[in-house]
Amino acid sequence: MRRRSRRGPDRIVTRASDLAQMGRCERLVVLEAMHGTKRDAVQEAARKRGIAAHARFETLGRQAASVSGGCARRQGDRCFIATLAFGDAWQTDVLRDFRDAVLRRRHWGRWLVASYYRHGPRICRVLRRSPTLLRMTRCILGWAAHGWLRW
Amino acid sequence: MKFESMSLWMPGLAIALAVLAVLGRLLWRRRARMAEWRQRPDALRDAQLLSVEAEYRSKGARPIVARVDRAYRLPSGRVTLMELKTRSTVVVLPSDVIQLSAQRIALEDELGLQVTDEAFVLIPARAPAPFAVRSVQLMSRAAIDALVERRWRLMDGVEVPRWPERENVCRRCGQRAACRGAGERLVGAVRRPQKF
Repeated sequence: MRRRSRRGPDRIVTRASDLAQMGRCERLVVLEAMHGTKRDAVQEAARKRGIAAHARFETLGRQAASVSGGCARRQGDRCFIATLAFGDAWQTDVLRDFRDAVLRRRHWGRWLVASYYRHGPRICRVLRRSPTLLRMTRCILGWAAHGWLRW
Repeated sequence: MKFESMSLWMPGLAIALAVLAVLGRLLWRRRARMAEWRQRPDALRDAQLLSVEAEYRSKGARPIVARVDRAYRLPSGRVTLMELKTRSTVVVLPSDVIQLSAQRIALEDELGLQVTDEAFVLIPARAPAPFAVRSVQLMSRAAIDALVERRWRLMDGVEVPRWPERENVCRRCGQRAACRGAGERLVGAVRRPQKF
């Protein structure tokens, strides 16, 4: 008789945190797949502490990035099209970095940014209606983000 | 007379408050930058913070999705990873190395950048420093691929799961009762058809 797999066809992605559990205990990996995660009160409290610490760590990192010129900042950003195309992804952060590091330092760049802000919402409305155009935009902006990151 | 004097000092007060607000914001941001900088190890002093809590996905038949706590771009162009762990003891576990190695593969595949073999684990510590930083050497791509493969084979029930190397892993394990009940026959239990 053929053994039945525990995973469905869409469950082919492995999360790094799940993989890390292999280093802790392989039996735990199997048992959690069978019975689900089980935590006692102490472990649950530790998990909540961990989540809170990570949130503080993230906030501090984003605040610091907004000062140091890193591309992980979030404030003062209005990248309409990039956000529509990628959401809150690294590509959006990289394109913001390009705006601040290159465009805002040049006269023509500032004009370009101002035009983008003026017409961005209207372009977004068009892109929302057309998935093909959105896919093309995603492709072009993704290529541009890669280019800027490697440059 | 009273109204005239008010009209003189009110704009002054507004300007002073605005200046104070700007100064406060600048100080607050500087404080955040200094706090973040103090958390860095010496090797990352000149690095640029590339991403914070960003998710990356590797390519291939069995992709890995990883959420990177912080990634720094070194002046050489290479990227170094940093992971926060909130355990009570300042110790790096094999699971940390596996997690960071998986993160490296996901980031390299998605961004096309080279990640250094050395990564850092940040663990809360007692005074004088709020954090202890430990350096780790990451595993190779082949080793992680093998681990992913083994994990899927465990899920399929074709491999026998190993017992942990240290007994203290079991001490606070939530699956302790189920593990004891399954005994050595755990592999048979996994093979049982499941509804999902």
